[in-house]
Order: sequence, then structure tokens, then C-alpha cells
Amino acid sequence: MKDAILVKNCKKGSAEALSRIYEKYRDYLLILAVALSHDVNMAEDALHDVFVNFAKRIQVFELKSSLKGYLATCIVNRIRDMLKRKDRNNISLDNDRHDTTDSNEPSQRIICNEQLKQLAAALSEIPIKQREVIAMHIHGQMSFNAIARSLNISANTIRGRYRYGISKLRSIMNVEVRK
Amino acid sequence: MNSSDKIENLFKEANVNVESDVDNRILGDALENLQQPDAGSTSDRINVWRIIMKARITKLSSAAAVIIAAVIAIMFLNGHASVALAEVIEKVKEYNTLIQYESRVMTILGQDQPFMTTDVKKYVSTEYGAVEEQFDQRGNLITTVYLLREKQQAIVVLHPPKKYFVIDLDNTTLELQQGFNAKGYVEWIVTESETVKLGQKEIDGGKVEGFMAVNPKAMAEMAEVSNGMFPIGDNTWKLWVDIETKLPTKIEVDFVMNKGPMTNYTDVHIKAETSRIEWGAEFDESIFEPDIPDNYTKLDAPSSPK
Repeated sequence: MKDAILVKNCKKGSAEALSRIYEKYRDYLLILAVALSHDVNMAEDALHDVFVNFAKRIQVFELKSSLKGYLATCIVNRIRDMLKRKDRNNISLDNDRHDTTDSNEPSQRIICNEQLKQLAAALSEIPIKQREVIAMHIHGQMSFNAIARSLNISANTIRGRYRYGISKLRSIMNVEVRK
Repeated sequence: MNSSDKIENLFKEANVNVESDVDNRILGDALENLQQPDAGSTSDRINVWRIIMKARITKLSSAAAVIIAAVIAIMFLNGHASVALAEVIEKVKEYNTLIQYESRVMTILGQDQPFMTTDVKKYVSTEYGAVEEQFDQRGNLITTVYLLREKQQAIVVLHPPKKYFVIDLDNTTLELQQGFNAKGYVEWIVTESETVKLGQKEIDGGKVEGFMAVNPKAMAEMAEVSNGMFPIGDNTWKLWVDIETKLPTKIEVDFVMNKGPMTNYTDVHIKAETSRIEWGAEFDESIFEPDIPDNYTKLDAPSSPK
């Protein structure tokens, strides 16, 4: 079923329509959230908040372009807020910086495969703003112009962030290969 | 292969495996807001529960603790003591410390076997606050809750996931939470006007008299607050008082949490029994200094349950 119809049915209070949207985009959004945050717990919280807010605001929501892109932008914004809050709460990165995508943790309810762990680890080495653009462009398959519109930033800035981010990843990956 | 190709490949091959209770929780909350678009604050009030629920082994026992605490909190605000039990309440007021031992058994309604049984040891001091340690059946410590009067804080330590969070409490909330112990239970049962006498019997060689409250009014008030999280079903509260000392020796709490996000949409039967109370127990005040291992992660402070 097309997204426009699902959204329309959601507005009528259809639980089935909301469930179908969730099922359709859950994995895509979770991978994006894990890649951005390098933290499955934070990713789960972000997915929760995005869907609760989506449902809460469905009556005023207008599907102007892609629902997938809209939800991805919501995830990006939510993760950015959470990371800021985490920094403000002064959690020591030296002590606590560990791979929270690790499936050995007993409370883990979301298991990431090895590729996602590698991806999140590599992206965690570059600034969040560059991470966002790379994830939205490559994973979200969004054009630079679309990302610029969704983040309310100029397309040139988005291109710059992508270029710098990829350049840093190149150095990081080269170092890893040499190791 | 250049780095953007490599990242692209990693994204293509990235995969997640999600347990069904994650879906139930997210969809449950989203659906609640879809059907009641003006309901408002689910995102905020779910916060504390989300954190607790990540630690699978602790979530329902934590729910039990919170529901009992909340009920007692409301009970403190209500009613007047009956004449027969007034003596008991005066007696327990003489003690500034106690240690109580409690067992909690949780069963999915309709099933024979409990899915979780825990033992709780709780230290209570009128001056310092309270510390509750909860153990699984193998004796492993699964949660520690500090209620610190001077700092006006509650610190909840979740041991299996190695996480903790701190909640700042205002004066009123602190006083209400402080009631979550045998002294508080007594106040609660005493202030319920519909208390039923259960007669006398022997426990451990001593003669005791029982009192019971069934589906008290305060639970209905509690239900209004908690319905979105854990709708409250039938509940029974029993107090057994030693005839000679006028001190409670046993307290039984039995209630049902109906289907809700907190119970993974199942009906859960909870029995909590305080079978040993050491009134006036002596213990080192250092027990009220939070003992949090260095490798535990601090979570964002959750909003208080509403």
C-alpha cells in the first residue's frame, strides 16, 4: 500500500495502517539510528520517540514528499538532541565509551550484525554533522538538495560536510587497514 | 574500493534483529497516541519505564515496587485511623529504624508457575532514608534502590545491565516514597476505613491478629494515574500484628496488574509478602552511601512516574 494511503488511514485512527508504516520502516530507521549514535539503547529510544510523536501529530501531519525521508530526518534530529543531552550530562567518554552495539550485553533486545557494528564504529570517529549527511545520503539515498531542505541548511554546506566526512573516513579506514 | 563505496557496502549489508517486546512497546505507545491524539505526555511519562524495561529481569519487579509505593503514597493522604489499630500505629512510630525481608512472586494470570521470584531486603531509617536490595533466586543482586533523605534523591541501580539513574525528589515526593516500608504499610492499612478483621492465629509460635483491606478506594485513585502504564485489577492487603508487642510481624500484598505497556500487554499477578521485620534494627549508616561500581553507566534522569 502506498504511503499516502497509509498516512490517510492513520489520520482516521487506523492501528493497522500505523503498524504497517512501522513494519515497513523499522529496520531502515534503526540502522540509521545505530549508525548515527553507535548505541542501540539510544537508537531504540529514538525510534520510540519518533513513532510516538508521529502518531501524536498525525492529525496535523502533511505528506509533502517522502515519508521515508521525513521519518529519517526525525531520527537524525532526535539522535542529535540525545547526543547533546548526553554531553550536557557530562558522561565521561573516556570511561564509558564502549561499543554499545555489542550483542553480548544481557539486556540487549536489538542485535546488530557485524557490518552494522563496523559501520557505527567508523562513523563514531567523525563529527555528528558529517555523520548525518553521510548516513542520509548513502543509507537514505537522499540527494544533497533534499538533505539540505530537510535540515534547513544550504546544499553547499551539506556537500562540504559530506566531502570532509568521507575524507576523514578514508584516513580512519586506511589506518585500520594498516593495523 | 574507496571509502564511500566501503561505507555504502556496510550500509547495504547492515542488519538488525529486533525482539518482539521492542515492537510491542513502541507500537503500543504509538497506538495509544494515535487513538487519543490529545493524550499528550506519553513520551515523557514512559521515560522511566523505558529505562527499567531494558533490564528485562527487573522490569516487572520494579513495577511492583513502584505500584506499591504509589498506593501507599496516596494512602498517606487519606482517611483516619480506626480505634482498634491506632495502638499499632503508635507503637511503630517508636522505632526509627527497621530491616524488612520481603518475597515477590510474579505470575502471568492463568498460568500455574511464576515467571519471576525475588527476595528483597530493605533497610529503613527515619533519619537517613531507605535502601532496598532485590535478589533473584540464585542470590544475585539485581537492583538496589537508594532513597536518600538529606540529598532528596532516589538512586536506582540496575545490576545486570550495569546502569543507574538518579531522580531528584521534592519534599512531598520524598516523604511519600519514604512510606514504602513496613511502617508505611501499617499506616496504609490503618487509614483504610473498610478494614476487615481476620481473627487470630499463630505465626512462629506467637499469637497474631489479622486485618485486611480489599480493593480499597485509594487503588481506584491510583488507577487514574497509572492506567496508561499498568491498569490496576483486584488487590488485597493483609496485616498481621503480634498481640503482645502490638507490632506487625507479617504483611501480605496481592494484586493484579492488567494489560498495559508496563506488563508487555499481559495480565500479571503479583504477591509480595513481608515475613520478617526487625523493628529498631541496628545497622551502619554507611549503607546509605550509594555503592555504584565505576563501570556502571549513568542514564539520563528519567521523569518521575505520573
